[in-house]
Amino acid sequence: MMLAADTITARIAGLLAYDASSPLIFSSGLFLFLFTGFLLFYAALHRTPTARIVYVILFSLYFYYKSSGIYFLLLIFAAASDYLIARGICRADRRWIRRLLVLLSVAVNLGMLGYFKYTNFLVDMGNRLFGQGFLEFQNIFLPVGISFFVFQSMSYTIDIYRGQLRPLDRWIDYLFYLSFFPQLVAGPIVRARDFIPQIRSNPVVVTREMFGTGVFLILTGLFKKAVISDFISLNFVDRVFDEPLLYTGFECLMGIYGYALQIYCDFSGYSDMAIGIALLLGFRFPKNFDAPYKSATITEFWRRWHISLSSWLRDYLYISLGGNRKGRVRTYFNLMVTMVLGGLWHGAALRFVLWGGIHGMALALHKLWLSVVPGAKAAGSEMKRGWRIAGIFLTFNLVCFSWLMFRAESMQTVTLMLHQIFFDFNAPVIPQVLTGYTAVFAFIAAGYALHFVPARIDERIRSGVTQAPMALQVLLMAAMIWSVMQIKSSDIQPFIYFQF
Amino acid sequence: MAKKSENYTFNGWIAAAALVGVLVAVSFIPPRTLGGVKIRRANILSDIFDFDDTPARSPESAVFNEEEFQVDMTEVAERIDADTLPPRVQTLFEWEIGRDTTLRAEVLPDTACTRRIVAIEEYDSLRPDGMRAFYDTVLLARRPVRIAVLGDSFIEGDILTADLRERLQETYGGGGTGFAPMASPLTAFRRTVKTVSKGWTSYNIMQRKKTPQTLRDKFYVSGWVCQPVEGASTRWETTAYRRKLDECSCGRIFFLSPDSSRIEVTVNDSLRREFSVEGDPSVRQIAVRAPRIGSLAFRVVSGTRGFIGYGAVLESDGVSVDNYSIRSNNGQAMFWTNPSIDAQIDAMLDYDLVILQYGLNIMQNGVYNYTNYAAQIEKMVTFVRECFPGAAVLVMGVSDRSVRTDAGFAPMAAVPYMTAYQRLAASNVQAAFWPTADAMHNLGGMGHFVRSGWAGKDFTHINYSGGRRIGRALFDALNDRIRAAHELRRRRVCFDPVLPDSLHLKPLRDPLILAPIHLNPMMP
Repeated sequence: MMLAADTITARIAGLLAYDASSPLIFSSGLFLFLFTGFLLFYAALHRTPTARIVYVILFSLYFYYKSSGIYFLLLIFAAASDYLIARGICRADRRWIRRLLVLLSVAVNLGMLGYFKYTNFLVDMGNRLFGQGFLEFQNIFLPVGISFFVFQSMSYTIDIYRGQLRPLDRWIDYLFYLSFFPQLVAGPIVRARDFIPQIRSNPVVVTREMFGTGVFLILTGLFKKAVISDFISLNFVDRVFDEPLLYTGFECLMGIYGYALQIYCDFSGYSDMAIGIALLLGFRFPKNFDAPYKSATITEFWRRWHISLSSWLRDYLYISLGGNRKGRVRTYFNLMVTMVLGGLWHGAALRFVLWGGIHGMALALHKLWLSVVPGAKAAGSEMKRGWRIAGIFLTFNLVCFSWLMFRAESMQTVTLMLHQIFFDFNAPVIPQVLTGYTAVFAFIAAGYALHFVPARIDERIRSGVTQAPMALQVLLMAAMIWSVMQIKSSDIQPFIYFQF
Repeated sequence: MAKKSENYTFNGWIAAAALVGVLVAVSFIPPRTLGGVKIRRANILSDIFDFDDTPARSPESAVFNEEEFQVDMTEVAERIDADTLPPRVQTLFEWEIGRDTTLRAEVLPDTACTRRIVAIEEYDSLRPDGMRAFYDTVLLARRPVRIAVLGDSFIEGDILTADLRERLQETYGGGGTGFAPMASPLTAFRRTVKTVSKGWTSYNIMQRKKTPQTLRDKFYVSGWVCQPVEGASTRWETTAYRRKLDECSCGRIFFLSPDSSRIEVTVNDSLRREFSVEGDPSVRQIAVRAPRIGSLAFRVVSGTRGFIGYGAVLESDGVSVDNYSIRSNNGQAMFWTNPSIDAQIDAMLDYDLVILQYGLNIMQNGVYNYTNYAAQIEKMVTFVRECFPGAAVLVMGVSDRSVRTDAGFAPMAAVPYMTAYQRLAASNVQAAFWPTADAMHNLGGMGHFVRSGWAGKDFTHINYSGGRRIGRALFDALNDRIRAAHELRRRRVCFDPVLPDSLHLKPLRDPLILAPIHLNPMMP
């Protein structure tokens, strides 16, 4: 149906304006159009660094404005604050001044994070401890991606304090780093020392390999995020977690396994797209996920899961607490504190603390195991096949148990899910469930199959896409987006009941 | 420096532009079906341009298995007459434990509602057993007022009815959760009563073909028959999930014992009594009255041959709302119940209002003609009147529902049509009607329900939070009419029914024009 020009103009204006309910995400049609327009001028400016930097900053700020409105000023503030503090740290000739300045940077960053993300959590805690009404809940907007850019910014000042990085001369370079849109809202957490050297490369170079890998990562990211994750969450996982008692234990267990896949596909898919988009712009980001469910130990899991966060926590929190340099007990304590705070970083709720606590405990126990059991290995690649398979099974189920805490809205949901799994498993309904939710289980199976595919096959597919002619890459991308749109507009899986 | 030919910086734009070109071209491919697979329009421009992909209106009626709705009403009436005449209220035992004998106190309607009310449409104003009689009963009767809500998975687990009950009991007195089945796989989901049962084999009416032959003819509108082994037991415990649930002073346990049996009833886990039951082909009840019943337990000690447990009603003097939900039921399941058993239990409970909530599973996207389903609704109302004589009948319109389109979720176009056919059916058989979808639109519609966490992500089923909103809206509608009845009774003037053409034109208390109504479901 054709519309009047003024209606179209109004719709476009509405589309481009800030709307908290529809942030600009990579898998949206609007992003594709904006990014296409952006690329034209980006390519034209590839030999003029300053103009290019200003141009990218403006686009990034708009990108952030689209999701968080006026709070894009917060990003500018954080960039200005840490840029100045970093310069101060570099110029200070006394150790205590340098320490004071880095503490100031940490305080400013954590202060912002604390205010926007944790105020109501603390109010809730206060009310639980001292009675309802002790403190009043505040109406505070949570700016998108604040947890990511605050951590990125802290990595810059801490690295300068540690003498691992020289401060930037230009503020716009720092603003560019902090606001660079591919990783702005959902990571990966790119370290200043990895990113800054790439800012002023002249000209910007995107090699064929970078271009092809970028296309491949965007393709896989879209498949993971917009096909698998979105489909299984809407059509199965969410409803099981919403009302566990309506489902058998088998469905509840599948709901947890489904969620494990969903969160991996959601998170790593978005990361893949961010890394792919950055590659198309000539920037290399470190790998953020490395088939984490292939891990045979919990220690290995944290080397493969959200690598940019786990390495950040290790370098800036665990090591700052003393790491493993202060005795065994202190090491376990440090691990626990790091993981609990890491859990809290994911969200302001007790369940995230619990999730972090489970991982901290598991990591500490594994460290103890490694120290007391001769021949115990930290990673599956060092184990014999049988041990590795057993390790993968145990680690996967432990991680899934922790996902139950992460996803459940309350401890009651956790209890109900476990009750159904252990006391109402109802194995006879398995064939019915698999038939009733064919599409859901097909996607879950495909997701896990792709996840566990051997690295050499993965590499072969990647190289096939990377080396394909550009026309074929475009068609592959069009086919993927078409599939995403088919999935997005497909009928919702109706509720199916198997209990009798 | 890389060679110019190796730098793909500009290629990114070329590739993105080509991609946009391909996707825009694809947007113009209309939806189609290939090899039985529905291919939708992939409109990359959906935020700006809409394509009218509404399927051509089919003159065909909704497709469902009409054979499932086959029922011979003459036979139903004859069966009820044969099995229940002379009418017998088979209260086997009444166990009174220091009962408070005070009659139900005088009640007054709630006058505090400031919400916009979606009115009940009363097409039953000429019937003596219409809504008007129900309003009077609520106001004047000094006995329990009983409401049965027959529905599908939309109200499963006491969703909606929990809040309708709470508001009615708060305003007009009463307590307790109403009917709770003897045993079912769903008891854990229901939060308004805690049921623990052991030793029962439960059969669901929707799976009646898998039910033993001897039990198939024994279903009640609850949809469950439960067969015990010796020692089988059930314990119902009140909860505080909603207000007034724990203010229960009467428990009624319904069962069928064709042979002699011994059963044991325990009240509040302390007072226990064993009953010897002589065989009888009719459904019977044991009624327990106590100042407060926190838990009620039932055990079949011996005599399990042919024994069937139905469930218990936990109530007190005042309003009692019984939830009879059956998954995947479009109303046809009531025709598979034994009308005599329905009538026998009604003889003991004496329902004043029966609410029918069906239709959700019948709606199909793109189908707007529900003539044949409307005919089934008329049969349902007739069946209910046979089995629950004297009860007013209120047909709830289908609830709001959303479907996915290329631009996101949109209201299902069939909803207003189904509502209109349900309204037509209600008016044809002189029953009352309440448009649930309108009430949901008042509250923001299904999209808002899902965004607010009041409904599931299938955009079809509500949860307890959603039930709270709709239950309260239905209470407001009932309360508003009870209030009008009270007011007009006070002034001793005529009490006019509400008709749909005047709903939004005149305040309810004003005299209404009784003009003939032309209902055209195809123009909702």
